[in-house]
Amino acid sequence: MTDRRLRNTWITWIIAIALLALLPIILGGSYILHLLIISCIWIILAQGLNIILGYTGLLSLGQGGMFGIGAYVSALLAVKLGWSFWITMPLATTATALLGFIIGYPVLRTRGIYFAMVTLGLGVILSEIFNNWIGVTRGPMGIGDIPYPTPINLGFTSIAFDSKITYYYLVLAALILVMVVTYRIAKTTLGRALIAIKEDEVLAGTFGIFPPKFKIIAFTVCSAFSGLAGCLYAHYITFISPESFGVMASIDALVIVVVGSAGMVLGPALGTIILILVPEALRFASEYRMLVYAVILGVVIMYMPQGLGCSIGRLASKIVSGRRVANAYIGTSGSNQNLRGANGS
Amino acid sequence: MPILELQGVTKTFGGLTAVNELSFEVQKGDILGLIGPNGAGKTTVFNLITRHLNCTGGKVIFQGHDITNVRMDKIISFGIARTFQGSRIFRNLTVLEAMLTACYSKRKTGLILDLLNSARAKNEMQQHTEHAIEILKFIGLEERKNDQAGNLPYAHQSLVGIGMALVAEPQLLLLDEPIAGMNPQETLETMELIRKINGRGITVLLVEHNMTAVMGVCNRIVVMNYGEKIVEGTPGEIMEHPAVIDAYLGSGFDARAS
Ligand SMILES: Nc1ncnc2c1ncn2[C@@H]1O[C@H](COP(=O)(O)OP(=O)(O)O)[C@@H](O)[C@H]1O
Ligand SMILES: [Mg+2]
Repeated sequence: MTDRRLRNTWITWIIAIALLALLPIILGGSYILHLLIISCIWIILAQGLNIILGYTGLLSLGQGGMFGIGAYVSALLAVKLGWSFWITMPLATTATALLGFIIGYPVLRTRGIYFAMVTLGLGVILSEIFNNWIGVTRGPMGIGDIPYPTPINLGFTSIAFDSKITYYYLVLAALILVMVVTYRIAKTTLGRALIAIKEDEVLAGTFGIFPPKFKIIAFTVCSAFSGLAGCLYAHYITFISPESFGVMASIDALVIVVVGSAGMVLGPALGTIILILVPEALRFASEYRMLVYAVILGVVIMYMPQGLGCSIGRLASKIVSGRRVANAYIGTSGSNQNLRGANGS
Repeated sequence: MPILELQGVTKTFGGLTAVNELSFEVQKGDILGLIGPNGAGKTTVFNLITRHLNCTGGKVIFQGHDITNVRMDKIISFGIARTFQGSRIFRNLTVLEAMLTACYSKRKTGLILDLLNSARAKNEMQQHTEHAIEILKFIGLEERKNDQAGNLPYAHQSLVGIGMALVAEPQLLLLDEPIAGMNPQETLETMELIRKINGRGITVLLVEHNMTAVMGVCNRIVVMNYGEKIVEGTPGEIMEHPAVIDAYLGSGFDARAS
């Protein structure tokens, strides 16, 4: 990468982060903040799925269950043992990652539709556990009074997390971390190996990439992101019950990833904006919300089968380099170059 | 010492014996042709050498190492690379991305250092990119480096497959019907490319139906039929051999050519 491109990448990151940080100030309002927080959590959850589905090509339908593990582990440690969020958050994330690592070993022997079925089963089993292990999870009654993160004492001042604005900055920090990790994965050998496995496992193996190893890594990272999202959710809503972590959550995450474009770092963010923010923005017409949701899905599936992100990338590169696209007809400089560049794949 | 040695290699699929007690040697520097009618078991031999299939019996020895039971993904680091019949390549990647993916086995930096964007990882990435471009120039596809591999004309896809194998810097290269689907001009160019690859010190094992190509580039030829070796010799000897003529005329060589 040239210095100039490197600098541009940095500038893009900084502008994006600054905009996100200023968003609550620009938009204002408690309800907007709530939406922003929920959106960040959904993007983190969907990014987990993006790693395993978008990059590795494995359709996991157990995302909701892993989301729940993160939430329950953190909530239980905080409520029953009184541990601080700053300890329960890394623990819950690690525990979910560990669970993914252990379960991944047998589960990742299956592929295609079988992998989807097994992970769906996993999600259902976890959901049953949340519902029926009443001694620990209190079953359908759920766990309430989950504490907000303990304030951070900086000496001269302390930051409390009982207001939406500070919680927003907390989830935003987590989101940025997740995005940076995903971006690095996508850019490096690890991402290239995952994509090779998605493309053709046998060919990947021929070139020295051992698919089981990379699938386990992908599934572990996916689980870690889901666990982190669950934990952030639990300490924000302060009440959790099994219904938030069922098959519907898995399906929602799937729809977000597919609509946003699987296999793109920004895909889950786009998907979340479209599927969570747009329907909310049309809330005044609340009886039509499901309709709007359905129309968005229909349009994307019919006209943008590779997702919104891909289509935007393609459009942008057409506008930016209309000339080069024309050149492609005489077969000199490839328009594909620009398309792919913009897709970030 | 031969670079590759097959000792009584056998492969059965259920009741079908695809490769039967096959033995031959490849000497370092050879361009060895492996020919025979369709279904003779040539691709299966490749799959046994590169461990895409398990041998039912026999041994495969590469540079003195018994690789009969080595895991498939380790084969490349022994120095054996291959292409697949019908140009199996990473179709949705650009040509350059496909080449970089094929560099995987050359990597010396760990995944973590790579994720952390260490200087060493960056440096290595730079080297791999330069090497990939060099190989693309060598196979004549540098212009196409940013095109999607699956969108290239068929002949170019076949070359991408060869390029991916070369970028891993093998000592032995197995080519499975690289010329299939090429026009006469492309055929000549690919024959020349195979000679140039051999000139880089890479031993080549070539499966190909185009007899002009095989006779033109190979220094030795092994002829198979029904999973067995029927003859081995120089191109001159092979062309004259009654058993070869018999095998080809007797098992629909003409039908395939049509
Ligand atoms: N994976 C497999 N399972 C079952 N039979 C196979 C398999 N691979 C090859 N065969 C059979 O083995 C024989 C040899 O096939 P192959 O090695 O592809 O021949 P060639 O490459 O010489 O045309 C054929 O009869 C083929 O049908
Ligand atoms: Mg074959």
